[in-house]
Amino acid sequence: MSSSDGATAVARFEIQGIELIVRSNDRLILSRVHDTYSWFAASGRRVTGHGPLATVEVACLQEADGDAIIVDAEGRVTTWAEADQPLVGLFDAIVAGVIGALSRTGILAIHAGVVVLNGRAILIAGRSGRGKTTLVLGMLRRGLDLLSDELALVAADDQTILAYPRGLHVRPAALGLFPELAFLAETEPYDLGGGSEWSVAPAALGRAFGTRVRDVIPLGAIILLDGDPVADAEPDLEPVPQAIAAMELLRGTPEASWAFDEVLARLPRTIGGVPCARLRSARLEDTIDAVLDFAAGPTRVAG
Amino acid sequence: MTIDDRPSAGPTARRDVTLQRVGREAILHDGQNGQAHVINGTAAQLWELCDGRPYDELVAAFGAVYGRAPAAVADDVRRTLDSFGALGLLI
Repeated sequence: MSSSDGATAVARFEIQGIELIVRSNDRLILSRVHDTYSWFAASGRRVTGHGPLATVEVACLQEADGDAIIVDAEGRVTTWAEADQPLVGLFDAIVAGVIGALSRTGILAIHAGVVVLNGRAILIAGRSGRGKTTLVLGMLRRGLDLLSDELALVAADDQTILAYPRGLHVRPAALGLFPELAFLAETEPYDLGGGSEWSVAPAALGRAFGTRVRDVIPLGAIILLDGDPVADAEPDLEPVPQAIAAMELLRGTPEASWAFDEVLARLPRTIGGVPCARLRSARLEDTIDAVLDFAAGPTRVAG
Repeated sequence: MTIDDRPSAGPTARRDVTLQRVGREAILHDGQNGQAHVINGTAAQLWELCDGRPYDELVAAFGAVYGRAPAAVADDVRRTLDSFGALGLLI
């Protein structure tokens, strides 16, 4: 599925002060990268006001024999033989490079979705397939604002969560739950990894749900998705101690693999005083109600 | 090894095991095998007293934190130290 014309083009983005440069000689690859990172290209915002804090550069180059090579931010080269797969590998290289660069600027990245209720961030963590994106989409439809669907970026102050509004990677099943996203079926699906086939940019979410992107929001609640969603059942939400939540978040924090003690020391400052719960997702609207009730309890969220 | 088997030095926390308090609980991270254990705040208090002092002094110090006589906390201390020992967290 190559659309290579031999000439290498460049796409540039800025993610919370990190300049991301993606090079490719495949226009389609760059177009799809843009689909996912469009918000960062359009915003042009910088946290420093003095240029990027660091630069991450990755490349995906189609070769004449149909193979593709990916060069990650560390300069490591991998070869991808299958025509459709380079995009998945490229996204992995981008995410790894960005997380590493953010780490060096003091920003901690945790795999989690984050939405905003009454000025407080609800962090939704869980392994792939636990219904994170579905829950995020459902909460956006209820009018909550978006911080992220993939990474919760903990600011260097350890108190606030920063925006990371990468396009939401949705699976075909989501179209049945969200008729507002029916327009996706009119576009060509492609493999984004994990069974996802479309990337929905924040601008499209704005048109579908009226979603707004927020930035720099204090943490208000932590939801840990536990087990596979059960479609025809009551959701099961159970408060858990913060130490249990910290353990779960550590598992979803790439930086913990090379700086465990430092991450362990930071997390208490971030989640201290924040109510935490374990959730087995079930019927979508009931699940959303349970999360909102938990997060918006009168003693938990002020205004 | 249980507490009664200790011939000389009192319970001593391994230096490569770190304690991080999180809310009312805490996490013990074993730097040797990468395992982490969630413990409650009371166990964390006891862990911080595992500096090699003799067992009787440890029990007394722990009881003093909570305003209890040593005899009133001895069983809990023994059980918790045995758990630490079973996890290999003590020297």
